[in-house]
Amino acid sequence: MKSLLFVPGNNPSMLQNGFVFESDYIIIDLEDAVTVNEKDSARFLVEQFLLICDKLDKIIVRVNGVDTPFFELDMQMLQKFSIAGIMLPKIDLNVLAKFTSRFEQDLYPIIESCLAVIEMPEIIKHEQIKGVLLGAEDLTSDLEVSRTRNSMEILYPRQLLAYSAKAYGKIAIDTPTTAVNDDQYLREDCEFAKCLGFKAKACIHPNQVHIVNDVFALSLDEFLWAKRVLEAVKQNQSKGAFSLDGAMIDEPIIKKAQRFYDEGMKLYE
Amino acid sequence: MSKNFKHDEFKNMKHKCIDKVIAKNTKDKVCNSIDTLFGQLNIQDGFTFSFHHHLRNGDHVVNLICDKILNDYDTIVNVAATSIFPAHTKLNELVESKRVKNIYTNYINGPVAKSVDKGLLNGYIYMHTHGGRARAIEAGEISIDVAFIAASEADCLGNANGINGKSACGPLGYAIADMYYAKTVVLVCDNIVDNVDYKEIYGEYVDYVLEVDSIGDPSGIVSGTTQITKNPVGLKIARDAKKVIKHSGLLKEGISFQTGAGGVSLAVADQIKKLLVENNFRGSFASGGITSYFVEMLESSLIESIWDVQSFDLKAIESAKNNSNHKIMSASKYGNPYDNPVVNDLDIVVLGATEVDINFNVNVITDSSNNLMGGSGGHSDTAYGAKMTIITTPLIKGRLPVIKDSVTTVTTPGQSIDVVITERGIAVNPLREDLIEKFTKNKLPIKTIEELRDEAYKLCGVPCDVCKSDKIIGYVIYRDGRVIDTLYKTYEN
Repeated sequence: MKSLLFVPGNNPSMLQNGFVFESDYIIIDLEDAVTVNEKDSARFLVEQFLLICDKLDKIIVRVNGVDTPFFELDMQMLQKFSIAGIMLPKIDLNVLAKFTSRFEQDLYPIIESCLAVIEMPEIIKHEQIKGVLLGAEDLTSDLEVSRTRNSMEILYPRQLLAYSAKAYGKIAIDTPTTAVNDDQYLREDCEFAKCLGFKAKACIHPNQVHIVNDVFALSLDEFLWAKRVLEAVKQNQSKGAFSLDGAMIDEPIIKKAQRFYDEGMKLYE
Repeated sequence: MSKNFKHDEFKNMKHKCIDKVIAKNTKDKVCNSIDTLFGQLNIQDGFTFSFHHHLRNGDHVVNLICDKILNDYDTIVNVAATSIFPAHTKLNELVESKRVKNIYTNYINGPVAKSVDKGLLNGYIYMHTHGGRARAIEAGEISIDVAFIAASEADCLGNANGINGKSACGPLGYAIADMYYAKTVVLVCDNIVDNVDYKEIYGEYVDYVLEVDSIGDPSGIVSGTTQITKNPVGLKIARDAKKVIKHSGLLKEGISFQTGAGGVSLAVADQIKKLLVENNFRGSFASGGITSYFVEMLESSLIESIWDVQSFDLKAIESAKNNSNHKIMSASKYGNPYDNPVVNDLDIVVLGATEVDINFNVNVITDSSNNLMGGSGGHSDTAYGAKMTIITTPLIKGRLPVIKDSVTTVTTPGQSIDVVITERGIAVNPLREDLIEKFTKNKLPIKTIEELRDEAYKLCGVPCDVCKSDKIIGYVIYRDGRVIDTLYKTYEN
């Protein structure tokens, strides 16, 4: 998983084109993208779409919050479908318990409150959770700080999320970049998130997907490096560690190279 | 398999060419009123009048002449206009009053198209291509009695151009065949000067110069959108076009290309620009209808030259005027199969489509309800000539599948089409085994055209056949003169 594209649940043409942009998953949104007076019609539209969709395993649905009057109806509709999972907004331990006590679907919650940040490792380790999205807009609103271009205000939750997800074997999904017409900034934001340890990023516009895919995919340089490392391993089998291009190659590096190689073979060979 | 073999087709056909017609009237050419002019023309029943469309929807000349015929004559005429636009309301009045027999054109939309759809011509509409029209005129197949050539600058001898003056509309490439072969040539101008330095129209072929207040509004020459699309589907198609070009084997130093002027076409042009920059290549030329986007590529040395048959914005006109590498060409030089046309030197052309069928035939003349709404223009000419012809189109438009079992009207034969790029996959003509091999090797999302059709049908349902009546309203004329399809009136109920 590298990219997840939000698709409004009340827009037929965007639902129809959701997979066109080659995101790994689409997140059909019944929450923020749908106004209160369209909740019913959106739910009906999404149901009709899911009935004819042949990629249910690539669909996550963001339902309305557990404390809203729409949550029960959303979940009732979704019981019929084997989708990839439910995206639960406004997660915290209390919300998580309310959901998991009644539903067994895989979860992709959004960390978007200060409480959720504090509770993050406990939340993330729950077995129903497969991936976690950082929701920077609501989070910074809760923290009462402004969003800035360098995103320093979310550095701590970003790092905590990346570490927690890695520790418990979950997918760390970075917050969407809201500047939809600034490709260069999006690319830089992706590169920074990737270097923090995120494995994927959510997109709020179709034009963002190809850049997110590009950055989060294994690069050709990484693949070529992995090939060289593995070739060098064959030539240095008797050594526990050896040097390549002035850098030490040992077991953790070899494991990483093997991972890159396996991924790269699918992409480049 | 290379497409180049197809250029040999024309070598085996007889090239017919009538003599050029030197002006019979050589003195006192300037007419200050349309009445004076028409007093000289001896208008007869069945005359054919021709017009160019360089002022596009800003043109005033077609309406001026049609209004005169409507009011002062009761003759039935033929009209050979390179394109017909919504602004041509007086021509529509002439058609509605059953005073037009045949129309020869390369593109038509607006009220005249609707009237032709209703069967209001006494004869037929003949849908040509830009290069095919020039060939048909030089062969005498379209015999023009009076050519009305609008120009933005002229002298009293009829020497003229379209790049100077208040109504500058760009190079007059579509009017050159008319100038050479019409029996009478009338230069229509709103800016008569003592001397014309830059001559596209030569006075020796011009019989009369009609001075008017205005030949048109040059702001009307803008062709649709001239901005790169922001539509995600269009941008996805453009990105896939980049991959197709990158892996086609044609991306090299000196690559030549043509794209249209619409938002998606410009997005593809932008991707070609990126490929040139990334690979440190310089293109040899871009051709066709020219926008400021191509001018910027020329000025930044990403391409060596432009071959311009018409300008789509004022910056292109300025460039044509001032930059010696911005070359002007006639429609014949652009696409006439017997004129060693520029289209034969194209590596890549990127074109649109209203419909594509599973044999790769393309329709850009009628919509899916059989209404006239466009025309080949240079579609068939460039598709034939380019080493790789790419069609870019959404798989569905509205609720209509673009790829279907058969097109409503064949405009460009499928053997000229190499690749169809939609947002949901890329289809390669099975004739191009070389491209299929290259694209497969590079993991491009290749599908068969049938798979794309099925996907479109799954989304839209299978479209009903259009109810065409038995009444023929016109013909589609291929660039070599062959009739490749027939246009029927739609059954009204």
